[in-house]
Amino acid sequence: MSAPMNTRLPSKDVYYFTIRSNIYQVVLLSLLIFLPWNTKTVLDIVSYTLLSSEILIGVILCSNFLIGLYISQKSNFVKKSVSYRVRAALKGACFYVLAACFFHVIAVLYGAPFFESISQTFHFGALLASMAVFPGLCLLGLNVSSWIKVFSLNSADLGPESVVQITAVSSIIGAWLGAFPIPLDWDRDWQEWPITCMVGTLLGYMTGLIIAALHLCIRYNQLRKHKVT
Amino acid sequence: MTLGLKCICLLVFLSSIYVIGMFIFAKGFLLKRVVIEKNSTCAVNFAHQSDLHGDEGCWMHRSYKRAIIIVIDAMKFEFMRYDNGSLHNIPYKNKMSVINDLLTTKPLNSKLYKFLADPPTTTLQRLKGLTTGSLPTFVDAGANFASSEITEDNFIDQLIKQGKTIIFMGDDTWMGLYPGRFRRAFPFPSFNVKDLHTVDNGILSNLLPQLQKQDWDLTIAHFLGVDHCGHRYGPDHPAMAEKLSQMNHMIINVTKQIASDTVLFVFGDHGMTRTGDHGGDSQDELEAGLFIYSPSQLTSVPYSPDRTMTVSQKDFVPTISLLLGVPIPFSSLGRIITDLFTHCTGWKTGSSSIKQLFHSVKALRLNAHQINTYLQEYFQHSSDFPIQTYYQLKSVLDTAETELNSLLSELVRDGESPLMEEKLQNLRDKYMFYIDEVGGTAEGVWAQFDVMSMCIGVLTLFLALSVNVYFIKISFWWKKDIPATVLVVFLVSLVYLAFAVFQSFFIGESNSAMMVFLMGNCLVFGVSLLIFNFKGSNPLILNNKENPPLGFESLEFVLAVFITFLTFVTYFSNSFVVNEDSITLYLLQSLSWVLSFFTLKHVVRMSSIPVDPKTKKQKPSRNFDIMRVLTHPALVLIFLTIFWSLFLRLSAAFRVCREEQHQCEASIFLQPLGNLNSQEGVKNFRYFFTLVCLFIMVFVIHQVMKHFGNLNGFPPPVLGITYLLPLSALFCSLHWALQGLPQKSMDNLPPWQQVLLPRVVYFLVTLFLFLLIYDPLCIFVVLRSKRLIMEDDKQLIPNIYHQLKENLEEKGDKPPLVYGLATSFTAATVAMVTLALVLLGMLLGDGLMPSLLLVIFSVYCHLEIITIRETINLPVSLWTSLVYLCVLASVFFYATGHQATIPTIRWESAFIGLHGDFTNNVLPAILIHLNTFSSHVLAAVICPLILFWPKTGGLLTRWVVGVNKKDSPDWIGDFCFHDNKENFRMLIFRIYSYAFLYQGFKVLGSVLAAFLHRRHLMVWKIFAPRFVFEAMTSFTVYALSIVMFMFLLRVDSALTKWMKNFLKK
Repeated sequence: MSAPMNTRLPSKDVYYFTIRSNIYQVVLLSLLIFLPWNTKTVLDIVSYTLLSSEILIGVILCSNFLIGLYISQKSNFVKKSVSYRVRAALKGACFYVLAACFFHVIAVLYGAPFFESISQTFHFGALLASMAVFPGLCLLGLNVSSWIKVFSLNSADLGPESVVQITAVSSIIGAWLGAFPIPLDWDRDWQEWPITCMVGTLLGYMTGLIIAALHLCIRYNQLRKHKVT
Repeated sequence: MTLGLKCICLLVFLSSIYVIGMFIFAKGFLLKRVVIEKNSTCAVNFAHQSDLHGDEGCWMHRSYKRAIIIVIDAMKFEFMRYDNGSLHNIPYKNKMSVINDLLTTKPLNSKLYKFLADPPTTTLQRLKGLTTGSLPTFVDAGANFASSEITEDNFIDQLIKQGKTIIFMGDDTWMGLYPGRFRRAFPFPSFNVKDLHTVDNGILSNLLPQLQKQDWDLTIAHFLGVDHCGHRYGPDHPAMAEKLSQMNHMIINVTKQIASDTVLFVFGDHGMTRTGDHGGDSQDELEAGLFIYSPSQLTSVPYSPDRTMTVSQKDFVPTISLLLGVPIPFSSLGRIITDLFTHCTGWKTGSSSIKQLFHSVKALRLNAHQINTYLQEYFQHSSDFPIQTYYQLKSVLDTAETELNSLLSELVRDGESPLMEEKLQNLRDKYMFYIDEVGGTAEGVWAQFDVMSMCIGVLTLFLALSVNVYFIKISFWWKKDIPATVLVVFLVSLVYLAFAVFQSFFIGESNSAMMVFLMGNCLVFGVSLLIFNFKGSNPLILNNKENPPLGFESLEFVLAVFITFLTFVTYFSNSFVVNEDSITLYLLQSLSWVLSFFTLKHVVRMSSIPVDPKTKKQKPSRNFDIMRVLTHPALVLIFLTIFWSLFLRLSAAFRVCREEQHQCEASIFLQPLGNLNSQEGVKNFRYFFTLVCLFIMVFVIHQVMKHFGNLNGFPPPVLGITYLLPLSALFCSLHWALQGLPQKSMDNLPPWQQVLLPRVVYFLVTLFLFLLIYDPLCIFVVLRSKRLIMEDDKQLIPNIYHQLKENLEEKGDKPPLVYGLATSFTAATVAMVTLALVLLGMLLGDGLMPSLLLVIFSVYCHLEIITIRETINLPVSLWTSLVYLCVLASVFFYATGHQATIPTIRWESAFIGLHGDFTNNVLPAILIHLNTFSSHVLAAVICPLILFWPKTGGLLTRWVVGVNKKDSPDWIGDFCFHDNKENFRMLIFRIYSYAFLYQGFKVLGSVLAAFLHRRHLMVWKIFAPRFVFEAMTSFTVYALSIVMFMFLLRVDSALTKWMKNFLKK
């Protein structure tokens, strides 16, 4: 995906905040995934898949919500009334649930069982939605045109929007690649559906965050040079 | 030579390189063991001609004068064993009561063993093993129905040499293996799996009279009913109980008749799986039962029900040979069943356990020496048996020999003593160890591969791939004709091929194989040099005006290449091969979602740009129109995608399980309709569901053709679609209804009534095919004066050939209406697809009709997507579409109830329209092949549609894009291919070259996997069948591609002729 020419630049504050928040998220998530790995504690994704995935979903939702809140305050929007905000939040929640259902359906279409392990599949859908859709809901809002701008026209700004684009794509790719180890006959606990896919999604998301941070750094510096010259 | 012919020649040439490569590889990979055609003789240096105490006999005195061998095909140990504890009403339990009665009442006269078969568990292989005592190899498994004479030494020939008389009755496979050996033979055809009774009743009416005649030394009876019953119904069926009771009754009669100098063997040649099939090497298939009985004392070790011994099937050969007093066949690797040699009347073994033991050790010694002689001989022919192991084993044998001698002298000197027994046991264990070790080592070694042939085969495949890439390359830049450089490649590869074939098939192992190998390397290098040199230097490639933009850079193209790579890599992992059905589905879903995602992206971009942001905001504010939302392009596209992917996902319901898939349940659609008797509701539901699917299929095809305007007038293919198609569908459904009848009433029908309906369908399909070849155009011309009549019919969309119109209007005449001219290629291809569908639908059986419908729907969705993409000027590259079709073919290979294993081949399709006993196996083989590779056949026939369909404008483009090509004034549909003949041939050539390339990658993957894993534990179970299936798939794809190419050329020439006539008018 080549970056379009007319790149819009966010303010310096937002730029630094985005990069910093990306790094914090990566550190937080990797701590949450890899520290309890194989420890049989509550957070161990292999033995307590559902519970730990719920916690992870909660962490990702909260962090993205806070980031979204911060950025919307920074980028001098017209202050909206409280009722509008509540309604927007409710709509956003609805969309998030819809997206989780959508990913559940897609997982089934890709070969997850129809009737068995429904709750596992739904947890996977929710996890994927929290990484591929929820950041978008927080940062782009419910406005269809901004979604089209980011995902269809490839003209995201060099700030939170491109982070949203890159992380969404990379977490979906991560989930896709996560299915590959399932058929192998190694007889490990973690080959159970949907653990590998969940881990794949998380890894994809984290890679996306890192790539987005690097992308921002490089492009930002390039463009600044251009502006100077 | 015209261009089209040249293209066909190139394709034929290309496919022949592939095929030769596969054959050379197969020759090295599926190698047989070295067969030593030497026979054992009576005079050997390790045995005395005359025994001190016994009667006549070679090597050892015989214990019995005669033997009766009753082979009950697929008689599992489970069937023979009596189970007191089982209260469940399992049909096959405790039906063979006679065995238990004899075992309990006469424990010294009868024996029951678990009789382990060596895989593969097909009857022919087992019979070879049971008579020669040697190990089977993979190749023969496929030749199950074309058995050829056994040349290796076997006990049948040994008996005949000793002047014995053999009577045979039953399975006619024996007659192929041992022609002219039997004094009297009553063979019955074995291939008709549906027929449970002919063979058995034939034997039963002959068995007792023949036994009474007393002029025989060996009687063999081979019953097939149990096996056929297993194939037909599975073991858990009342019919099995009936069959087993019949067998039980038969054995009771035989044991009553039997004289005291006779021994009776009753055994199964293999077991059966829970579904009643066999051929693999699972425990269920390997465990047959062996029951031995004689009125005179058989053994000194009484039978105890708690401890059943296990013997191997190759042990049968030395046992029966020594019991009947003939030499053990030369290449037998079996070990005698020692219990049977513990009794000897001449020696009065009854009192002394030392004598019993000694007698059996003597027999074991003979056995060990026979194997030793065989090994010595074997070393002169081949060096594959590890010499180190041999010398170790030889020393064991030598020490045993000296120990025996010292023991003998001790016995003569001191008489019997308790210490002796221990020594003898020790000696017995030594001999047994020797024989078992040799057997084990041989088993490990005898899958011997000819590595040089395999290398040359792989190299030839590489050559084929590079030539293939070269062909694709030239298809991009030839303008009017194929360049002359092809001839060079052609000739050089031809020389190489001739050399390689000569090398690997006629000369065999030698140093010059290395030469071929080197030459092949040079050739591959040369061709690839050629490919890369053409890349930039030729200006014609860069000329994009000739070819539409190809979309090489797009992400789908990358994904398609990645998927090809993945399918290639999949073959190297056994678990991926086992789960290939799910994996291909996963990849196909990915490809379809990516395709539609990018389409969606562009559609959304297109619909969002021109709209002003301000006006857009006002639109949805108040007048919320549900129809507008539902018919929004993006939503239509999303729905299309979801349905598309749903069709693919539903196909998973039609899969069959392979043995390695543990959490798999067999689909209800795959059981024969007649088997669902117990659940009447399910049976009716399934039949009517099938009927509905069949109806939808016929209706949809009819509607599509009508939409194109190709169903007007009375040209032959139109008649075919309107009359022959529904008619054959009707006969098809009647045939299936007949199949749903209970088996008994089916069998009572005369044969002609059983085969009439399918034969009518065959006839109709052939008729349709001839009509289609005779005149493939669905074009109807109406002169303008008639136009008023036609205008009332709003359904018909007149397609006017505009150029023609202009020409004629100048003359002041009204141009005639031509229906269906713009879709003539599409219509012809659709007609061909229809034909294939009807034929394959009937072969696959009623349960799989819904699956075929899913093929159509998913292909249709794919075609619509590429049409939409073409309309928005973002065409999908041919390679992507083709990879899609090919992966679809492999998804539906699994979704039509197949797996890449030999037991899952659906043999019953050989009986559709044919009645059992055939003189030659060509026709049934074709039917089975078509059934197995039906999805690949369909894909190859559908292939050209990815070219034609976008030109016809599709049916959904207006909904998604808002415009349809059809509306534009200069739309000429797929007639543009007729306008540009060179381009047309080039495109078709490219499509099929792509198909060859994809298939070539798959074949190369399976070949390399088989090559690398040739010592893998699972090679005969997973990798070798995978390679065989992949090779067969390629033959199908190559043959059908060439046929379709010819058909399209026929359509083109018919169109030219029609144009000439039309212009004349």
